[in-house]
Amino acid sequence: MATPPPPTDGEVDVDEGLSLPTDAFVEVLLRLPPSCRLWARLVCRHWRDVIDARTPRIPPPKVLAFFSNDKTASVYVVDDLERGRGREVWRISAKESRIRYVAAVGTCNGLLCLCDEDKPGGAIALLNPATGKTLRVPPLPVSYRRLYGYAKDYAFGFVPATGAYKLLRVPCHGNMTGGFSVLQALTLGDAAWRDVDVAPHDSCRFGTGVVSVGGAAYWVTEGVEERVVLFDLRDERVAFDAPLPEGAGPGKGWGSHCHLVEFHGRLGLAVTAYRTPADKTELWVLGDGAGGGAQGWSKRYSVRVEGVGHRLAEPHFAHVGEYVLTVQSEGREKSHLHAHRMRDAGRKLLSSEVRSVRIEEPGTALSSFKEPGCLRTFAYVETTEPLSVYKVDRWIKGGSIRK
Amino acid sequence: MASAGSGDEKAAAAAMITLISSDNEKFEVTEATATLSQTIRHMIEDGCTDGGVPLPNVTSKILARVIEYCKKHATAAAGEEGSSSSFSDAAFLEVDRAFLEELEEFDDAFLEVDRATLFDLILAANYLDIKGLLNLTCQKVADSVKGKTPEQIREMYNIVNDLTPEEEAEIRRETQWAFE
Repeated sequence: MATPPPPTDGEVDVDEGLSLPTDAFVEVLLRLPPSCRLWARLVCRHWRDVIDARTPRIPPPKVLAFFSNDKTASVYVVDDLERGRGREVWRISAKESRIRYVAAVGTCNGLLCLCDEDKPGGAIALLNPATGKTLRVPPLPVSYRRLYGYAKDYAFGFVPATGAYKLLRVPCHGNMTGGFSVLQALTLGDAAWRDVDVAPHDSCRFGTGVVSVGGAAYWVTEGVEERVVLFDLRDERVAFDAPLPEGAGPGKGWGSHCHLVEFHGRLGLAVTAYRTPADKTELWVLGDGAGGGAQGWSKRYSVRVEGVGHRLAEPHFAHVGEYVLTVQSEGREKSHLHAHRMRDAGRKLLSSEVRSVRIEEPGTALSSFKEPGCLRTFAYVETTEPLSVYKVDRWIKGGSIRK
Repeated sequence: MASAGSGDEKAAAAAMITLISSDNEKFEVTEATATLSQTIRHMIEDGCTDGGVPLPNVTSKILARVIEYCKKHATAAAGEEGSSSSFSDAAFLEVDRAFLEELEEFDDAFLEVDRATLFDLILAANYLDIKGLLNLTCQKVADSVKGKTPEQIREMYNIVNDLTPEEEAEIRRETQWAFE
């Protein structure tokens, strides 16, 4: 090599598309949230082929167990449900931090939303259990901060159409005065919460929860006729409400318990009747019926737990159509999370079929937790998506490329 | 964490490495700065750096920017492997906030470049194997794609859609299933 040719100044033609060598292009793709990466396969053949060949397939979700009490909070991820293998991925203790009572709001795209219930109004933070990174979210406006906060007032969701994460606060605790007419919403990366007007005297039944599924948040109203409300997270308005499944309302039947749950990308309502000798849970799914109408409920699971001292895990108990998760209490000291493989797992249900599940064996032990405390289970997809891009000062300053 | 590594840092600071860009410009940098690049670190370990390290894939313009980044982050690294890794832990742990914020401000300002430069930086970071810089630059491009419809992405990067309607329908079906 004698004299090298005069170097180009690095001024590549800007209009040549995303002209990165494949290795570097893969690095970019790996930094997209899994859902974004899936949709990006529609850009062109090259993108589709590189995404298929060089980035991990979105694996089936794992089970994430969140345990907390007034001393500690921890996250446990189950890697292998069949053999009961998992690991603790995150832990925080009240001694080392200023955190007192952390509760889990929910998971979305592999991010876990936490609420410090000890702070006025509840301080929200996000955690990526795969990277251990956390992000504190701007606090609610002062006027909405009560003495405590409740994780169950919040929902954390993703809007596929815009790629934005949103937090919604539904003041379930404002119900004493006959409901509310304003909600609070925050787009992740924004500096402040926004007020969102809803129909006056709207209400939210506290124990049932606020749940985010597929770009919408749902809750159940209080009153004589309980209804489920769909709040569109993109347009930030109530899109529709629908009656609960017949005979399944929280107020129907003494000694029953009712909570909303995400079920395979749809909204589910789990209704449990505590009876002797068996607890019976029915899972209803919205918009999954034979008719396909968005507003119809259909019953998908009927679970009987009998004779083993287990109760169904909450809120996420029916995992990838193959496992049912339960919690067994050992005295007042300890609880154990168990998985039960369903007998006809893997077989796709007919549209009107109800899966009948019997829990009469202990199943596979997954992990143990010290009581007293609160154990909540969620579906979880590992992601390397960084949280630092949502830091508020970064967002405002670095706004040029992120239109 | 600084106390353990600072002695070594000082010793390393004495050693200088010469980097040579594709247009034959020479850059003198400390070993601590240069070894943010795994590629150069390996060369040093193999004793291949006498007479300078030729980098035929990196122009002087880009190399100057890369060195600017490495200098800042080498001071920052001080015992920590890689580089800009744990920004947001500070949210809970309150460690060294001011310092991390300064580093973030530097990174933000560093990224205020045109698209061609950004892509050249990615190529350089990839070739030199500088984890922090690769992460920073690739994230910037990923952010530009995130939340965009496929049509918007094509428009932004002048990409021609060569998928047949059948292929497109197939992808849409697969994508729908992934979330059920």
